[in-house]
Amino acid sequence: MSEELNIDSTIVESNKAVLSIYFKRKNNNLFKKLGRETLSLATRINDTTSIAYLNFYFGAYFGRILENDSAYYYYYNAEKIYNALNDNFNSARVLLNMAIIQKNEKDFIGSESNSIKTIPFLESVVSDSSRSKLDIDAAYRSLASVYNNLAIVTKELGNYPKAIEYYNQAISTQRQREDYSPERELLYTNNLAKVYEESGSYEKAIEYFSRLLTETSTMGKDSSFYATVLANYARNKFYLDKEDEELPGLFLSALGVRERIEDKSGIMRGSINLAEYYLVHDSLELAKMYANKAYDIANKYNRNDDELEVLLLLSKIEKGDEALAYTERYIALNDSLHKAERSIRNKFARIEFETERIEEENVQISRERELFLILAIAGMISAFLIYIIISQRVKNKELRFSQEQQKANEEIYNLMLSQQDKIEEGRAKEKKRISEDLHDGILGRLFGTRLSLDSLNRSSDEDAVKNRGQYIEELKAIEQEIRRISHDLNVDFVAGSGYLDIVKTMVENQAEAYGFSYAFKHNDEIDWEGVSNKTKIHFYRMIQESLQNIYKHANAKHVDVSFELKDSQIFLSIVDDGEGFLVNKAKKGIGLKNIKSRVEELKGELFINSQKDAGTSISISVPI
Amino acid sequence: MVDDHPMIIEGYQNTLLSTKTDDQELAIDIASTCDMANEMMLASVKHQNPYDILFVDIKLPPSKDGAITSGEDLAKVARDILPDAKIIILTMFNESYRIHNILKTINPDGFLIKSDLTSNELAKAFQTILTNPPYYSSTVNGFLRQSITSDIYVDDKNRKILHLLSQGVKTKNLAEHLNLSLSAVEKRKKQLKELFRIQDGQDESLINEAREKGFL
Repeated sequence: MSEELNIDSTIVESNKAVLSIYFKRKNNNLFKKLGRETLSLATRINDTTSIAYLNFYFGAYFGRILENDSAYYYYYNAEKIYNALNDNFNSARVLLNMAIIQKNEKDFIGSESNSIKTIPFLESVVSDSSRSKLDIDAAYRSLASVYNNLAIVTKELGNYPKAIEYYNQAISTQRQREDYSPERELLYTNNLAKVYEESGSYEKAIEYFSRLLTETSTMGKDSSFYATVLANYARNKFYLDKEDEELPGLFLSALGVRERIEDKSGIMRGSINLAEYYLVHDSLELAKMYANKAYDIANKYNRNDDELEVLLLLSKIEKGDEALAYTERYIALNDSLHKAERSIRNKFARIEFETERIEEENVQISRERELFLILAIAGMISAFLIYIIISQRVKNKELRFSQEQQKANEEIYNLMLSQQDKIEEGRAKEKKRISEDLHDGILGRLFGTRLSLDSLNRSSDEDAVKNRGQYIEELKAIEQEIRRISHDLNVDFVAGSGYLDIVKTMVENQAEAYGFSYAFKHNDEIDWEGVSNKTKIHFYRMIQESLQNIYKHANAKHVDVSFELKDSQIFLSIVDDGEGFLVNKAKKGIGLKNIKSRVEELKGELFINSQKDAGTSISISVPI
Repeated sequence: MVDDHPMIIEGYQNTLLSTKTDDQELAIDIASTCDMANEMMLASVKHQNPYDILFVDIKLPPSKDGAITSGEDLAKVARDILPDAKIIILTMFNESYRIHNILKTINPDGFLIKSDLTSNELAKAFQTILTNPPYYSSTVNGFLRQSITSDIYVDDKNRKILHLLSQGVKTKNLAEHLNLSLSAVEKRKKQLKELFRIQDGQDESLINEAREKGFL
């Protein structure tokens, strides 16, 4: 990006050089186009010096093509930047140009104010010894222009003494220049003399003018300036003494010079002078001729003030209705001119106001943009955070679910273990009972019988024989008793019923809770001891989950759960009489998925059969 | 004669009656529960005709008030109320632990293990006890012989532990039977295993060894 920056600033510099050429050659379209490009480029790379410089140039450009409000706008921008850069010199120069425009548009007060602003800036430059000779000279020249402008303005405001003072200052400032310009001094002197003229000090004026004539004639009698001075001199002589002998000769010779060099504006002024002269001397035809000549030029070149003057003149020259017509035109023109002046004055004020307002708006917009950016970033961050929170929650839910599954499995496992314990306890108790039965019952009786028989052995009388017979019967009874106990031993009530008890209890509880009746069948041939715990747990859970599904979806009244043994496979079947469902559509729902995954784990097969309103049957077969 | 199997009492009666000497008169009273026996003993004292000999079976249905739970308890009561009577203990139990216990607590005048008996022996025992007590049946003699000659000393509680273990009682339940803490029981078991020089530390080996040495 710094490379880009370098290229751009080089472009700006080279463009500036081209622009000054366009300006000099008055290639207005090329100037405007390149100027706009360069200005936007300079704005992009924030080259404030160039921005100010370009604004200054645009001001000059518009000033030259007499679009004064545009010129003022650009000068105003340039001045703000120079002021911010503390570039007093250029600040002052821009202000001077603005003051001149204001003077041209008759905003005398504004012009005076801006002119005064420049003075301290320019004085600081001329007294700054570190400045180059060129700069100091340029500053003096500008300062002299400022005093000249002030003089014009204060004269227009009617303060003649002040105006004269300013002209004198302009002249003395000019003289301090290294590159002293005699033409300028002559010009200032001329203007000074005109002030005397306007204030009515004709003699003073004549004095200045005649001196000027001598000095100017050395420059060549065909210059327009010479003609101007001559005309001024003549006019003052006329105002002093209208019978002056040299008149109208001086007027005519001045006019002759102007006509020769085709100075239209000079011709117009000269004609006005002559019209005035002839009016006073009552040569109405001549007066009218010259007046009309002047009017044509004034009208053609839109010299409004002069037009006014001529109209006034004509209204005096003509008589009767024509005079009235001229008067009316004079009034109308005067009014519209005043209006234009006022609106221009307002325009300048409004330009300043609006420029400031636009800047405020820009600041506001950039602030708003910042705010928007911050909000957008905050929004994105919070969206991101929300996403993380949600995904964490989902993960937690999954985790909790698998934990619950785990817990449920553990519960069943523990149930089964404790059941196994109970089985063993039961067996031990049973064993003890049998042992006691044997010991207490049988042994005792046998002993008694034996003892008796033994004692009877001594005698062999009839009584003894009968008694012995009794005891032999007793022995038979004892045999039966032993048989019974032996049979008891064979019957193992306890084995295998443990697991089924657990399942039955669960089915019973669920059915009661869910509100349907149940039937639980089991095949006694199934050796549950030999079945792995994993299988038993999965069966248990599948029954549990199926019952839950039935409750949730089937609205059944009765459920059959049964275990069967077929072809060395355990078949678990769960049949309900509920609403049924579309088997294909029931892929969703965790219930069926769980059962499926359990069946897969057991390497078994799952059959689901269901019809609408005809109930559902789930059958699982697991090899053992 | 106190026994809850009438068949056995018949046996005793038959034997005694058929082997008594001519100058002997036998008056036999029969009781089949502890309560009955107790009552009859008390009555005999009251009637100033106390019993001379008592045949007592160990395994009897306990008294209603639970004060007399077996023949052992009954024999103790008899010693109190019939101090002159001779007590003959007859029992099926041939475990050395019980034998030891009965000898210690009752010190009977006759101690007969039923499975040792023939009618001849019963008659001989009876006559001996009349004149020259005590008379022990062969199992009891064997036990005494072994317990005096063996240099392994097993105290009462340990005997009980061995006995219960051989019955299949789990170690954790031993504590309740013996009124000992589980750790005390474990300690005793360890002692026993050392005593009997058991190599593999198994309870089963201990039981086998104890049985062999005649402690069970």
